[in-house]
Amino acid sequence: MLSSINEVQQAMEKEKYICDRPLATGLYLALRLEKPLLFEGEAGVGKTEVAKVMAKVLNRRLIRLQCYEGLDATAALYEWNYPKQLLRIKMTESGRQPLESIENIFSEEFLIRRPLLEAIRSESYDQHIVLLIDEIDRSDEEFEAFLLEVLSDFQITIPEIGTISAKERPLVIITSNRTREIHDALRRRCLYHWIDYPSFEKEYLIVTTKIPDIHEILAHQICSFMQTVRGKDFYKKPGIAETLDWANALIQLHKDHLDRAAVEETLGCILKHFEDIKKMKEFDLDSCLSALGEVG
Amino acid sequence: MIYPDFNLLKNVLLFSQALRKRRIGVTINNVLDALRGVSFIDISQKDDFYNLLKSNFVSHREETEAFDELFNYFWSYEKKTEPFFKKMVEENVDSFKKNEEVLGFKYEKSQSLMKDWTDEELENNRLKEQKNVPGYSPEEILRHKDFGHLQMAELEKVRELVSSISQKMAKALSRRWKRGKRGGQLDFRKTIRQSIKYGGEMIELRMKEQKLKPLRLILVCDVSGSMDIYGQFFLLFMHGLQNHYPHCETFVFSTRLSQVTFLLKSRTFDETLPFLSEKVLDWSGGTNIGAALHQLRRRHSEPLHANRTLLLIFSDGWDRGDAVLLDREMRNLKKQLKRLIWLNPLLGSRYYQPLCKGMSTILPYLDYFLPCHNFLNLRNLCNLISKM
Repeated sequence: MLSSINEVQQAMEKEKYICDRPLATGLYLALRLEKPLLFEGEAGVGKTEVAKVMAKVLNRRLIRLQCYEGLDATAALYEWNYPKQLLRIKMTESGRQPLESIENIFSEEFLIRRPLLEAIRSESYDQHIVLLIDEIDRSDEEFEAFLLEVLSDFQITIPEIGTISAKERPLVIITSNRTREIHDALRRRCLYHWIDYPSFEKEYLIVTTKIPDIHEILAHQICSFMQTVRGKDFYKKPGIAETLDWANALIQLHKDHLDRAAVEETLGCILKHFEDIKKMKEFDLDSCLSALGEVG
Repeated sequence: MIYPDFNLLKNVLLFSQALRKRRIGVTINNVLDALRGVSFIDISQKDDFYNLLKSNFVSHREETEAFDELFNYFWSYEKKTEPFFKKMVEENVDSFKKNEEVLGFKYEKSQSLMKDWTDEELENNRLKEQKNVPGYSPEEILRHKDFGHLQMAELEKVRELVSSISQKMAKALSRRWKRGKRGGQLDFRKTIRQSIKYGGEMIELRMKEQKLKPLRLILVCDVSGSMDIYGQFFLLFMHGLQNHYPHCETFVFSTRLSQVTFLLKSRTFDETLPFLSEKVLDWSGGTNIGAALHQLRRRHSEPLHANRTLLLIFSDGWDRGDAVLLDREMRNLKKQLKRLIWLNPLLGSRYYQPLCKGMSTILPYLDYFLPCHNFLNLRNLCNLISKM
């Protein structure tokens, strides 16, 4: 168990996640207070990655629930294994099974665990859990309300079986891209942390940590280029994920510095909309390159 | 667990109260969790303490600024609690004053309080604050809107009407969409349950059907200078709708677009107005519809993609922005949305023709182009929406 904010920070960095102190404090408190942690921020700033890295750091199993509109209890919580139930009934009919077993087709044996139940139930396997509820803003209000119930006391009631509650509360990490407002009731039950685009120094550190064999100058150029791009008005601004993709792409293409040709060839790594790429090529490329101070 | 000493507890409580005054809705559970958290961190580290309180008390990015300001004020080492109480009283004076402006009548009490507490220092601070309103562009007129001229009695009347209309509409919508039946699926769970009493033979089939969802509404209100007289009227409508109809997002714009869903929700209209004029800095500025719609499409694209979204724009169409941009944005919106409704208060005049450049650009893309200058129009609009 991590016993201080520093330890969290160091452990995360050991797993190659550059983690600033506010974030580390949030994670540490989430563990200590056993509260869910809500991350908001633009796409690609490393919200989901936090959960993955935390699972590694804590040596816990990661259970991920990807949200989408129409996500319901049968997909998030549990479902009965109908084919198995039918087979059991048929077997009983043909006399190959004792009759009593038909009573038990609504037992745990026939239960298919979905992520939320798995996260609550898995203590029976002596396993601690990191539960990642990804992109909650994609789900609908009904699911949010349902989640509220589950997260408030970490227990689930299945009519046929009874109430199941978690022995050890999992570390719950919820992420949102803010495409929709999350309800206040859910927010107030969580610790909140906003992840912003990284500063130049942080981004440089992330690039050199994740890609250790990158050339120093290239890393420097990539990061300052990205900082300039984020200052411009694009439909989707590139996140840190794009920076890393781009850096890897440039390495694969054996580039050791940025020039106009290299940027134009690989623009698809950082901008993902036709309009953005067009705008970049027509208007912004020069200013972004000149910001590097070394136009090809 | 180590209990924090009494002083700190009291201070955190006071701090949470001050936050509530700033409309950061801290719950008692948040306070308890923050206090529990105190025993896990080293509170001599101010940054850690700040992060602890922030992660517990802040739940919106928009609250960060107010939180930071208050945190720096409250937990400063110079003067302990004294200035805080002074500040609280000062805030009370402010809110009294605001109420006065909104409601149009005077509080005797606030007057006497103001006499007691408005010393020179406070006055100077206030002047400083006014000067510090951040500027965005020279074209924008940055000023706090005076809502004074809506009288108390009028407000009351308007409020009643709007809330009844929006309630009706919310109901009409949800009823309509719940009734719909689209085939059905076999409900295995219930069917198997049912089959047990027949020894596993599925005799009674149980079906389940998909619930339909109500329309999603996006309300966009023009609050530029030319819309001054009508703006408040539509704001009332937006406020009523936002609080009675859950599937609704609200925005206001003049040169820039601001999302006000969060500001309108769960506040009374009286509370909302001063808050709105404070937050929306380009109130009564110029008009740039194209840029505002562009922002809407970029920043809030998710609800727009759903083809059951209804966009209501309330504006007179006097656009000073780029017509090409406006045309492009309207075309894109038309592609994405179920219905585009434009409410123009000027349409009420018999002599009005949509000749101005903005309006003639917009017109081809609209599903409905409706007048909106009195309550009859509003009621008609509600009927129209509830039939969609």
